[in-house]
Amino acid sequence: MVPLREADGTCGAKAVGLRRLLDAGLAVPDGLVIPHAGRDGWEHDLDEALRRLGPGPYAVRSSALAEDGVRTSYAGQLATFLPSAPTDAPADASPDAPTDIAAAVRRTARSGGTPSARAYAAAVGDPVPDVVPVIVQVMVEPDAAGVAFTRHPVTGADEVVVEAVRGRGDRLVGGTVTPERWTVRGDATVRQEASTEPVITADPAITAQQSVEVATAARRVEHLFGRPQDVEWAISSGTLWLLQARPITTAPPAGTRPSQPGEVLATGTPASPGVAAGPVRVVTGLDDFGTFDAGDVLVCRTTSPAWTPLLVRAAAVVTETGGILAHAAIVARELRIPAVVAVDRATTTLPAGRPVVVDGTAGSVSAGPRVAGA
Amino acid sequence: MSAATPGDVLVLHAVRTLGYADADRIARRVGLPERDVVEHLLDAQAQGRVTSSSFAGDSGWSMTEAGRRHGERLLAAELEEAGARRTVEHVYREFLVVNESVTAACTAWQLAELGIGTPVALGETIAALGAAADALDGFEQRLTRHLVRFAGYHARLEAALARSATEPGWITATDRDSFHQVWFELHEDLIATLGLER
Repeated sequence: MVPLREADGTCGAKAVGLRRLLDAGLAVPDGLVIPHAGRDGWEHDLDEALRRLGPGPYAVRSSALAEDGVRTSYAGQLATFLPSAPTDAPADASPDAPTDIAAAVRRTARSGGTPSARAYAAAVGDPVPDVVPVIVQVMVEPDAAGVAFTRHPVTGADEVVVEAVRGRGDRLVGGTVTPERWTVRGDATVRQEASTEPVITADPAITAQQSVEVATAARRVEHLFGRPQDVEWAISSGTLWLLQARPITTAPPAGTRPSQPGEVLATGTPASPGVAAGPVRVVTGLDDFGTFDAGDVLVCRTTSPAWTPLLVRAAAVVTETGGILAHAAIVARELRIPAVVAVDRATTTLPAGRPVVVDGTAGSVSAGPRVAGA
Repeated sequence: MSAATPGDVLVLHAVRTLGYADADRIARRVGLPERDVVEHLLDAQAQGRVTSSSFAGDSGWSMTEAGRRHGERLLAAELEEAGARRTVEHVYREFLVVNESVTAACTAWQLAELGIGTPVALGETIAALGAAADALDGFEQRLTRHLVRFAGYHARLEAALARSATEPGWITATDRDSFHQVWFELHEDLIATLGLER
């Protein structure tokens, strides 16, 4: 058993990463690592080690060596056991008795060998050890939690995107709730957007000041590791804790960088990457479908299933409503065409027939070169 | 007592939820012989409610604005007659919450596939969509107690999910009954039934 502050190469990449955060003076919940949970002996020392760690509950997490690999990430593929939230379970259901912790450690250690983790490892050509190192950490019960990306996850822009939910962040990471989203450039929060249509964030989970605090910590992590990071964080009683950091593994594909010389006619939320040019075709309803030609830029308020044949033939799509999670955005990404959504008054301000360049990576519509006869 | 929707209304409504489809696909969707479906489609075309078009060698039926309005009137009348408005409204409100998790899971998967998001494991995506399908099963049971025509979404979602494990295209593809495609249809169905605007 190794204290988290002394984690070494036998303790798994996650534990080593957390130790580096601790060494840099960042707040990480205290913990210990069990490098070889498959071997006997550690159970006897667990009681005493937990006593030194402080009162529970504790989070039991995999520290799989391959999990935080730079090239591929197992992101959630290895099991993590968090104690039940105090509101939805009796207090004695949390694994804070040493025997429960020991059972959770054994389960987590074996999770490296689950069929899904094995299948994933086989698919990317990596070995998965049968038993993975396990981290036991003091559980912080957050008022708010989330993730921070030091590059925009869609555009690759050099800005910090902070996603936040009330309470524990595992629901966010598991994709079961939609977070509020803050974009922080430098140390100023430039915008807060609800990431999809019907989400009401009148009462945000964090303040603008806290979003900047999270972004600043994420920047420090990026500086520490020398590359863009995806950081899981939690705020508990005013203290910002970092729970995990891993590199953002893939840079945006070449050729999708924002690049257009023309005048910007409209901007919105980038929702499907890439750049494409074509004439503006404003379609206000089903009866306009006949006016649409292959290679046109579809400009509309929103889409329904009936619009998919237009999207199939469109060079790009611009909608007035929606967010990155909108059905139109999902269909556009599926069809690999650029999409810019939430463009205010697009159907009335973009001139019909005008050649434009849609940049679905930057979120802009700009004037394209005029072609003969257009 | 659960109400069965007449064939002509089923066909018109299928054109709305499928968006663009040939007679064969509509027939499979509504469970009627293709010959009958074609008759209903030709009647609706004569009344200006649906239109036939072809794109690149592929042809299909889609709705006109007049057909959309007519369909919504028929669905509203059916909803009142079945006494189902409150149930559908409640289900729709709960649906929107689950819709968030479906679109988030589809988006995370696509961004990872495009190489620009945080990598997401296929198993994780299938688990998130499976949880949504489970929730949908409950919605479908509540809806079909009043309106039989809501039956079948859960089975189609499960079928897409089962194929996703080996062919991930079944998550968001637009050329088949993928998970997102079926979910998008259900969203359109609820919107049409309640006469809402997107």
